[in-house]
Parts: sequence; C-alpha cells; structure tokens
Amino acid sequence: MITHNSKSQARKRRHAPKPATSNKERLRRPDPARTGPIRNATTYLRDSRSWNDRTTDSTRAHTDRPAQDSPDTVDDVVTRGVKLGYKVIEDYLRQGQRSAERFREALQKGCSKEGKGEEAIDGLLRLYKDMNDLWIDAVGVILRSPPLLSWFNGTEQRNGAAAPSRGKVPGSINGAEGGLAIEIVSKRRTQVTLDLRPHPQRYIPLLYALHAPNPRIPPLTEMAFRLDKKTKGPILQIKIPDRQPAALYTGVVIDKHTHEPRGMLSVRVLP
Amino acid sequence: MTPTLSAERVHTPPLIPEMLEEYGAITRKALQNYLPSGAPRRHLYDLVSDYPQRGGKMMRSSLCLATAGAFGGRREDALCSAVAIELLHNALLIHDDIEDESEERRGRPTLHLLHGIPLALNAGDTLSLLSLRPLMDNARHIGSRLAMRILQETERVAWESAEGQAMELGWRRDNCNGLHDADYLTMVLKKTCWLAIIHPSRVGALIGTRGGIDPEPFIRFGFFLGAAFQIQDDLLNLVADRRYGKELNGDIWEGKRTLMLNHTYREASAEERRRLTEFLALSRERRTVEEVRWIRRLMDTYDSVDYARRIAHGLAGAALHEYESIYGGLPDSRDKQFIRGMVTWVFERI
Repeated sequence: MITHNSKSQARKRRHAPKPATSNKERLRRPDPARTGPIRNATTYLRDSRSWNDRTTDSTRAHTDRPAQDSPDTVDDVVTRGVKLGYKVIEDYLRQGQRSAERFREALQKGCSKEGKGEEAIDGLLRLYKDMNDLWIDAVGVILRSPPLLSWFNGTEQRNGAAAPSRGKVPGSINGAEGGLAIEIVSKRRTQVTLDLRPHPQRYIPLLYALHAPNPRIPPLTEMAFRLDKKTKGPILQIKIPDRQPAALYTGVVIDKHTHEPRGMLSVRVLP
Repeated sequence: MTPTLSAERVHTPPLIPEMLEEYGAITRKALQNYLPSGAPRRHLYDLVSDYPQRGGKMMRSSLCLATAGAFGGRREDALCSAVAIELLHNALLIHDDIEDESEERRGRPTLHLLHGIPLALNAGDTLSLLSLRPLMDNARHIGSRLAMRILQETERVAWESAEGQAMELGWRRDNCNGLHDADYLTMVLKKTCWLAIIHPSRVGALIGTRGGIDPEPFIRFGFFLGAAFQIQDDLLNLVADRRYGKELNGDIWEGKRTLMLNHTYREASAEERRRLTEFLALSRERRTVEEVRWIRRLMDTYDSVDYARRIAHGLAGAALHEYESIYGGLPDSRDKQFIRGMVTWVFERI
C-alpha cells in the first residue's frame, strides 16, 4: 500500500505514460437518478453499480486512479470516505480480536501440569485480593449513595432514630430516609447493580429501558420504582422475560420531573 | 432515527462552547493542584506548567466528564481521569512539537524553541509521569478496581498513540509517498482518535456505569469523530487565521502526510510527483517558501482541499450514526447534547 520513492523510481515514472492519456475506452457511470448531491451518512452502505465497478482505495494502486476527465462527485467522495472508514475500523477491531485470541491461547498453553498447584494457590491469593478490593469498592459505593446508606442504617431508624420530616411523595427517594429494595422477577440468573447519586432533594425515580451494547438485542423495559405497601419504602421491580438474550443491560435512572440523571442501573442476564 | 449531516449548513449549538468553558475551568482548577511549584523551577517546573497554562480547548477532558454524566455518573468521580487525560495530552504535545519541528503552539513559540530540545524533552517526560498521579488518586474516589481498569485504559492509549506517531514519523523519515487514504486513516485512528475521543469516552462511560459497560462501541464512534476532527485540523492549517494558534501551512513545511498531500500526490503528473518527492526528502530548514506555496497551489489545482473536506463530512455523518447506537437509549441531558454537538463543532472550531 505504501510506495517508497527513490530517485530512480521517480525517473522511471517520468517516462511512463500518464493514466489520463491512456488509449483505453473511457469509463462512464450511468446518470444518477437523484437531481442533487446527498450530503448525509444515510448512503454509507449503498451498494451502487459505481461502487461495484471499482476497487476500493486501499487496494487501488495510484497509477489506476480515476481519470481526471471523470472526477468524483461530492456524493462519491463522501460515500467512499465513509465506506473506507468502516473498512479501516473493522479491520482494526478484527486485528485486536485475533491478538486477544492468540494471547489467550498462549496463556492456556503456558499452563503446564507441574505448575498447576502453585497456580491454584496464586489464583486463590488473587481471588482473595480481588474480593478485598471489591469489598472496598462496595463500601465506597454505599458511602457515596445515601439511599443505600440509609438502607444500611434502616435498623437504627426502625429502633427509634427520628428520620428528618420532609414532604412525603409516594415512591420518592432522597438521601435521608427509607431503604430501597430490589425485586427481580425472572427465571434467569441475573446480577443487578444499582448506583444512585446522592441528591439533597426528594425526587421520583424513573427508568425507561435498559439497553444491551448490541442494538439488535431488544431492551429490558419492564421495570418500575414503586412504593412497597408493607414497608412503605421504595422498591425497584425488574421483570426479565424468559427469552431475553444473555447480555449486560444498562440504563440511566432519572428524575421523573426534571429528567436529570440520578444514577445507573445495570442488569447482567447470565446465559 | 436517521443521522444526517449537511456539513455546509451545520450550526453548533451554543451549549458546546459553554460546556467546554465550564468543564474546562473545572479541569484546569483541579489540574493546577498537580503542577509542582517548588524547585527546580527555571529548568523544569516552569516548563512543565507552560503548555497546560496556555489554554487549549480542553476537549478531551470535557468529553470524559460529559460521557460520565451522560451515563449517570458524578462529575467529581471523573475529574481525576479528566486531569490525567489533559496532562498526558500536553506531555505528548511537547514531544510531538520536537518530532515535527513545529514552531508554534497555542499562539506562542513551541517549548523546545524557547528552551532547547533537551529541557523540553525532560519537561514532556515529567508531564507524562505527572499524569499518573491523578490516576492513582482515582482509587480514593471510585475504588481500586475501577481505578485499575482506568489505568489499563491509559496504558492502552499510550501504546496506540506511540504506534500512530511512529507510523507518521516513519513515513517522513523514509520519504514514503503515494499513501492511500486507508493508510492515513489507520495512522489517525492510532495517533489522534484514541487520545482525543476514544479514550475519554471509554473512561467516562466506565466511570458513569461503574465498569458495567462494554467499551468497544466507543472505538467506532471515536474513530469517526476523531478522524473528522483531525482532517479538519489539517484543513485549518492551510487557512490563515491567527486564532488557530499554529503556523500557516505548517504541515506542508513539516512534510506531514495529510489527506490533502496524499491526494495531491496521487493526482499529480509524473513531473509534479518528482518535484514533490524531492521537496519531501529535504529537511525542514532546506525547504523554501516558494516550494511550499507551489504545493499549496497544487492542492487547489487537484481539488485536494475540497476532497479532504468531503471525506471529513462523510466521517462525521458516520460518527452521528455510531453516536445513536451508543447514546440513543440514554435520557436527554446537557451532557448527551454536548457529545452529539461535538460532531458539528469540529467543523466550526478555530
């Protein structure tokens, strides 16, 4: 793809015939149906005849570039740029995947039978250390999230500690009172993580949907914050359809009235 | 929703400069705490503070803060990472300026022209080291597990940037010409897109979701937006505007293999190619203003500037498409609007 130019190569090229003056029959595109340039990204996957008639930029040597008497239209250049961009990024991602696979294979091959005992001990030590880190992280999340902190302090409050008196809004959350329970209705194995920001005011939390990274996977939509009739505390109920694909679904908890984000909910549906 | 981008009529919402100002000020204030003020000032710490204090758009750090916010995270949780991104960016700018033999940065002479290459190199190294401090401080704010994850992300962006820079410098040293657009885009993906867009977006999203997101889709979005940004940056280098803060036609003087130069080379006649090759083989001090002007005119002759502009517009359109797949499901917020607005902002910024 890269041409190294030396002086001798330059001399050779000086005597070579220019592509634009070739005797070959001129290539002509069919007249486009449109009446003006289309300057948007909607055409980037278009499979027009003009595309099929030519090679892509990355495979084309500079000597067979389009003749100067048939210049690219605006639309062609935009489309080519987008198509080329997708080719570059997909090649790059595939290369990364291949490297990761090779790396994993090398790791697996490197696990000799003799070393398995030591590795198991190392693994246990790492697991212990990771669990320790996770615990510290969990405490950090709780300390930064007053609704959860108040849930942890719930016993104290039930034992008579006075909660600050504020305007009661059914199903509302603030940083001072009421524990938050999570109820999952699912036959699938799931992991749920709720991270709420501390907020001085009461608000009614709202969730629209949880999306998977792959846009083709349908989102989780059956979830709601409501007030538990027994405990009078807020409860988050999540229903997961039986056929929901295994994936990590994430969504933002927002304030029902202001639509400002208040936190994040993620649900990992396990295979 | 179908993303459309009519680039000739795009208007960046006023929210973008407002939020760049707001988030930039927050990051700058936090960054000040990491700049050493003691001795040796004259030969080190004054130089270390120079580029960060010259201003700059603060685009990278603002994008990190905004992405964290768009995913429901707290701005203060992303602040250390935003500071680290700015410090690393400034460190790389010092080294880039030396490697590119650049003369101006943010409207003033480059650091190595002011203090010489050895001291400037040392200041760049120090800024790189300084960028580790806020990453270590991350553990106190977001927990050690997520802090380690962001450190790994930072290690990756450093590798990608180094590989991209090596590609470009190698082309110049070996006088590689006739490069294709795919070569240019691959180089830009590594050299620019990772640090400018991909890394701040991934880090912001990881913080916003507390590690609960697959960061791969940000590579596509960041590539398209970052490439449009870089091409526009290269185009701005060809127009005379002192606000741009870099020397006019500086990229031609430096022999950078921009999309415009590569296109001109591919379209040029054999004789023009020979002359171009000879010019690009020279060291910067031996290049003449007449030759630089000739190349600039040649770019106009072959519509290379317009060609690059159209490619940039197409890539920005693809960035909008990728934006929808990542951010489309999130509730509307200032942060979300900011990230979308950046796609048009890259064409209007100076």
